[in-house]
Amino acid sequence: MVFSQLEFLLFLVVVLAMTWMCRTKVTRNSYLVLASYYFYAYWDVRFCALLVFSTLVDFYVARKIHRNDDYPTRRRWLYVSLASNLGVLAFFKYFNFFLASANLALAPLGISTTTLAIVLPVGISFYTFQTLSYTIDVYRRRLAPVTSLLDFSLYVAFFPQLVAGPIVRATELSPQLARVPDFSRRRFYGGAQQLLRGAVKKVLLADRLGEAVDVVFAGPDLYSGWTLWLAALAYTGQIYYDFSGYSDMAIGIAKMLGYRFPVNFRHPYTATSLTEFWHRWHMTLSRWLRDYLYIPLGGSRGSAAMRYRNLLLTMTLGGLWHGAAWTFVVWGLLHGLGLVIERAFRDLKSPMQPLIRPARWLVTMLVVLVGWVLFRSTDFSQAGIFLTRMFSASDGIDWFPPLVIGALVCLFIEHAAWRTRLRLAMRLPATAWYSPIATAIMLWALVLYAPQGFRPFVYFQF
Amino acid sequence: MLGDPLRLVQRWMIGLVIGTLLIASSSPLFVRSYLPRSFDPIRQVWTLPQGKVYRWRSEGFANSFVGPMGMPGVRVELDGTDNSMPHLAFWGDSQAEGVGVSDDDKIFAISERLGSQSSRPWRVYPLARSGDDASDWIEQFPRVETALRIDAHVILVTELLDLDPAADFQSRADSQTDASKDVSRNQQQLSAWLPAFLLQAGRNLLFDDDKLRQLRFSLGPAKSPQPAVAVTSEAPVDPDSESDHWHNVCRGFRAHTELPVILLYAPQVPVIMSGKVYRDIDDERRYEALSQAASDTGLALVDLRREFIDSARQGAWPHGFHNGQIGVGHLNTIGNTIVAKTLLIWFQRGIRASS
Repeated sequence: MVFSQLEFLLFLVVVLAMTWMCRTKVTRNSYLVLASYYFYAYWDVRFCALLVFSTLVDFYVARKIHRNDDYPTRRRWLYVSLASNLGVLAFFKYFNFFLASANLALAPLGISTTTLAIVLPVGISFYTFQTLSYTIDVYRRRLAPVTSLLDFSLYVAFFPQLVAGPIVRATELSPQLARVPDFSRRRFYGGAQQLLRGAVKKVLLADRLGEAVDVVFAGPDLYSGWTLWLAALAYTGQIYYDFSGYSDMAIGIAKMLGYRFPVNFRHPYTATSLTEFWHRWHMTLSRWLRDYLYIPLGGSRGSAAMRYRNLLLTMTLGGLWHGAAWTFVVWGLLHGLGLVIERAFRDLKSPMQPLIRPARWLVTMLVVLVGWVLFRSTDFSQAGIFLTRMFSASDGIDWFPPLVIGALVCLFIEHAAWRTRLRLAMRLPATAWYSPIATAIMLWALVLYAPQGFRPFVYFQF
Repeated sequence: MLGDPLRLVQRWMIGLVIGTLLIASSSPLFVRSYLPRSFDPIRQVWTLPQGKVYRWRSEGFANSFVGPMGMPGVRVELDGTDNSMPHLAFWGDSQAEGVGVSDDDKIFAISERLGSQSSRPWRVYPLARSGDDASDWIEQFPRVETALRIDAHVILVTELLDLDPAADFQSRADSQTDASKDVSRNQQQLSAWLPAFLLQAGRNLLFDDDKLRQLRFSLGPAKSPQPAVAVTSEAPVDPDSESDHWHNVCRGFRAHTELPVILLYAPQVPVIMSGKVYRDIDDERRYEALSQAASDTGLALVDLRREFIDSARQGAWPHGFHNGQIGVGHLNTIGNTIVAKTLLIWFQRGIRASS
């Protein structure tokens, strides 16, 4: 089930009504677990078994870790969790990728293998990271294990964040699930507004941009350099509105149910460095990678070379997390290199560091834009054609869809307004005179101007 | 705190109404119009209502004035006694109707303009309607010939499939005429009374790809829909039968009019699909068979594919719009101009040959 489906709207109405009717924590959480499993089973009931497996393994492993003071035993139990979570992820997400890559390498030797027909379970990258963080936090003694299997099942399967995040840590969510939240009209209204805002971002902006992006990326050799620039910008807008729209919807739904999720996006295209970009883009993944990969690798400790290695490794693996393809790996590497260069300039106190702010913004956005072309391309050949033609102002079909340009203007205005006093107004406070007008316009626009056809969220494939 | 609930509710009610009004007033910029159809007594078919303006927004951005007999873009009164210039009836489907371009850029308008600039002006009547095929055109031939003093029928053929009904066309029984077709009373009343944005909203909510929306609440994986059966011509494939079929099609036209019939073959080429350019979408053997049959039965067949392909090679794509997709969809102003110019050149050649 996808947030932008009509079915989901009806599902949500029922879930909200029933949830707020539940008086005890057990009934409420039981009901939410059932609803969450139904939400997942709507896509494919068979993969609910994976959720159950992940839940049971981490619930019991965390308890074992907590009960043991013996370091090697604790570590062995941690490995059990890592092996089972990463094993499932490796099999479902990366098995064919590694096999195909091995095939390429072994082909000159006359050795070939076949790939398997594996369906990628929706959201596996997200809930795996979530359960891993729980077990690691218990191992690090930063968190006491959850005592109720029901609460933990809800933490893993909670439907607003199940399939595409935000990656909510147990330290943030499990204390909230341990009690029945008080109903707050203000919070409910805020959640509903955020849900609506997310729907507008996804359906009206991301999907509209996606229509043009799909066409141009399918045949970059047909289009002019200017159209390719527009398509690259359109994808920049599409992926932001798609994912931040999903996050807004997830956070909004959680709010309506009485829970608080961490922020996932903070207008990333205002960033004037890649470091800042990653503090604003998919923030819950960035901090996961920082806390569970970069810091364990050594983080900022040690020599400059070690720091750069850690950065490169973290970003490359972060790229691979997004998808089982070399384009994602190189995308991660590109960002890693960018971060290393930024860090090097900072370390050397280079005179180039204090570039004027607009220039830094421009350079940052250029790297991000080139990265998105790689990210969106199906292979290096497509990315190569796209980038070469884009930067050589090639001839071809000039296609400038006005609604795409309009959506990009929205992107620009939204980011610019966020830095002004309009930032608060954009949240549409219930008492402000303009809120009902803007709400009516958004609701009507969703019904009237949504592109035809179903378009899933981009991050579902990860 | 949200303040005084009653005042808040009042404020929200007023605000929601204002927001709705803003959407309603701006909707003509983005939403097509829904006009109730009117029955034309001469053509005996349902057409757009005369004197109204028809908006089209999704592919192209144009307002079409609906002239007499439901002809989009025609702003002159019909004069059946005017003998000063030849009169052409221009038939086809939505590609020929051209509601995505302004009235001045429709095929008939460009044709008339080019004609008046040349030595032989002519009057072109745009009688094409979206969704029409050979049976609709043939049926209307005799009705308009007298009323509009037609000298020739020109048919824009975008798919060979559209010609097939001519092969076995019989005058339709009363129950099958356009007059009896279901332009339902409810639909008519809704179009007449409800603003277009409400109709559009209802349509978007209730329909999905023109089919009634069906919600699914069962557990997945969802059963994939049966693969759509490709719509193909029922015309036989062996060369003799192919030839017979197209001879029957051409005889079908010939049997219902004694006037010259000119078929303008204007398929959607070149077309961009999945990032590739396709320059041929119909079976060439079928076209060759049609060409032979047209020649044998005295129909003229004009092939526009070369002109379309050459134009696209020069960067001027005949199909598609910026708010749709270039290289896909309906004829744009460039395509319409190519059609009109080709028609004019063909007629001038014909006149020279006959003189």
